[in-house]
Amino acid sequence: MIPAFQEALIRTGVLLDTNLLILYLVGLSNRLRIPTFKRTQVYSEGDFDLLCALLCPAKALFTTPHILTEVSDLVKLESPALDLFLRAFASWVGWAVESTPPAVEIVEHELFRRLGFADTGIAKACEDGPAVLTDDLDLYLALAERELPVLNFNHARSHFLSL
Amino acid sequence: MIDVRTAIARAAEYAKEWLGADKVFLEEVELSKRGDSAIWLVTLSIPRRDKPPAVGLTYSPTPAELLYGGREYKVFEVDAEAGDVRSMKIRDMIRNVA
Repeated sequence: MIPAFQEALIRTGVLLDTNLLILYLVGLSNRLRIPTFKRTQVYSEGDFDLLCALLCPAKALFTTPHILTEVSDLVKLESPALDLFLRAFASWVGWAVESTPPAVEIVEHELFRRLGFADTGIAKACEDGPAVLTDDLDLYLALAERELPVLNFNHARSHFLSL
Repeated sequence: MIDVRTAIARAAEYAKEWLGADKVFLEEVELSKRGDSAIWLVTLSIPRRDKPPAVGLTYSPTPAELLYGGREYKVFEVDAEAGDVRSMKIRDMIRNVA
């Protein structure tokens, strides 16, 4: 694990991007759904276990209103699966520290054109201290280039898969 | 349909065989469609051939490597039914847009 990421994870906490938060919440609500649900098909149950292991040493869990909006909009499930998911989502909202970068600062940020609104919001939130765990290559590269504490979840998967 | 782990493994095997990479990193993966066929798009990074190879299980690309182009990014298209690698392309990077 990259030392800057690990240090920020333990000292401040971690912020999950939208895809990984969906994986986490779907896994919490019913891990057997991970390989079949459209938004989590690119992961396995083992990836959920790996994500949980990475989150364990985190001092706190961070999120932004933009991530929560994306998660809520992207997850289309029917009852009773939806009920379980929404329970996990509500619990997450209760646990997580909400970082609220002002919209005007996001659209004026140098990364806005490159990353869009939600991911630039993540970059802004990360500047205040929490580590970022993402599987989005463009977001990862943008933060790593700025020497911000970020880990590409897929790199951890690479070790797990012995690539 | 092959699962995501199989698709990643097929892409990694292909990269090692045809690009001579000792160690590859998974960077991104998505399930997509080409016509009526489902395809896995697996992005891997490999050390540039003019750089020394990375070693060790705990290795992760450093910011300096990313900044100075120590790695190449390739997208492998894997047939989701047959599991064959159909194509390999250079991953378009948008880092210079900002």
